[in-house]
Amino acid sequence: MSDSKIFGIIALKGGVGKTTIASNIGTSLSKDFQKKVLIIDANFSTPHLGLHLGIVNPKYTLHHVLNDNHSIFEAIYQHELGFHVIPGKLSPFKIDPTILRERLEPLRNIYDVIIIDSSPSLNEEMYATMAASDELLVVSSPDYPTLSSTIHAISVAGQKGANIRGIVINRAYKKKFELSKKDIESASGTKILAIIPHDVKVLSALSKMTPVVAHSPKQDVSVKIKDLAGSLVGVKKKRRASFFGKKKDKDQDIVDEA
Amino acid sequence: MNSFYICNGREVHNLEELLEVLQVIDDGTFYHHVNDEKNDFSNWILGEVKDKVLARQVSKTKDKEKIILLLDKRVNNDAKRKQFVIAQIKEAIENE
Ligand SMILES: Nc1ncnc2c1ncn2[C@@H]1O[C@H](COP(=O)(O)OP(=O)(O)OP(=O)(O)O)[C@@H](O)[C@H]1O
Ligand SMILES: [Mg+2]
Repeated sequence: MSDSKIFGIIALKGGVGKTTIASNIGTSLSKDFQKKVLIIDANFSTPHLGLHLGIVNPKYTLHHVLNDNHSIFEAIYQHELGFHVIPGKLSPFKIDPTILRERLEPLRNIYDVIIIDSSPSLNEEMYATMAASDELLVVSSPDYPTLSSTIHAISVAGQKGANIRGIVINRAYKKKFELSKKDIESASGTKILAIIPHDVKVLSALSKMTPVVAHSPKQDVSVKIKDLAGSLVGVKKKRRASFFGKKKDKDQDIVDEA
Repeated sequence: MNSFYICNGREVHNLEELLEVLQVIDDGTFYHHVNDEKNDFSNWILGEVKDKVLARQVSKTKDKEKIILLLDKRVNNDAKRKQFVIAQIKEAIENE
């Protein structure tokens, strides 16, 4: 197998949806695109990926790997939806984030895609994800504070020499007062890969500790995430035909087809 | 950008402030700046604010209410305000 592609999911702001996007892209790549996927929790201070995926109190975590030389293979869990997960420790102890990249090396020829969920803090935690990733996805939402942290994150990533694949807009309400795709792309100089709507189904899925793409696969939010996941591995978005013929998708231009 | 000095002593730094001033200014003061000879507001908008379109629109009238409307449209136009905020955010981050 050729080398894995490692995607880091970043944002310089808490609660924008990094873990939601990371867990759902991973689920979709595994379930819809038959990729061998590993999702890693590199949000070392508030590691909640496990709580999105039903892994609550794992014996070994990424913290053990980055602290006391446990093998990374001991911290890998098989999820019932098919992918693998390396969770973090809910009551974290001190670790060395800078060795993340090197600890991932042995996994590179095992998975098609590795997804790293990261921390919103501008410190070694986030730098570790930047250093370990081949490409970064910056999660944002269409308002001034999030735009500001997005521009900042992109600028820091640039200084660190990291590659940015693009921006994922999450929790869009399709309101006129929101910043537009054009506003955000021109302000950040970065392409928007997908616009994921706000949907209460995401919260109901979280209450079941299941990604929304598995919990409500037909929901618009899940379809948008699936299109994004496909675009990351070079699968073109399928045109969705309705009973009456081709259905026009308003957001057709939004998903990167590359 | 140089300020505009109203002949009553008030200093105006930007279009927002000019709009505020025009809403309370008395006719004598207004016509001191806008008359057959000159249109100081239009000249300042052209030379300092560097908004050619607005400067031309303002130069075509000596009616205070009309100028207020033009300024209001320009200042309170959502799209422009958005661009202004975005530009300020970028400046704040890039100058760190
Ligand atoms: N598209 C969406 N629609 C509705 N709710 C959402 C959506 N995306 C995320 N949420 C909810 O928003 C909350 C924060 O999401 P999430 O935990 O993914 O953010 P985060 O960026 O990982 O946060 P942190 O910075 O704390 O790690 C969660 O309750 C999640 O279910
Ligand atoms: Mg998170």
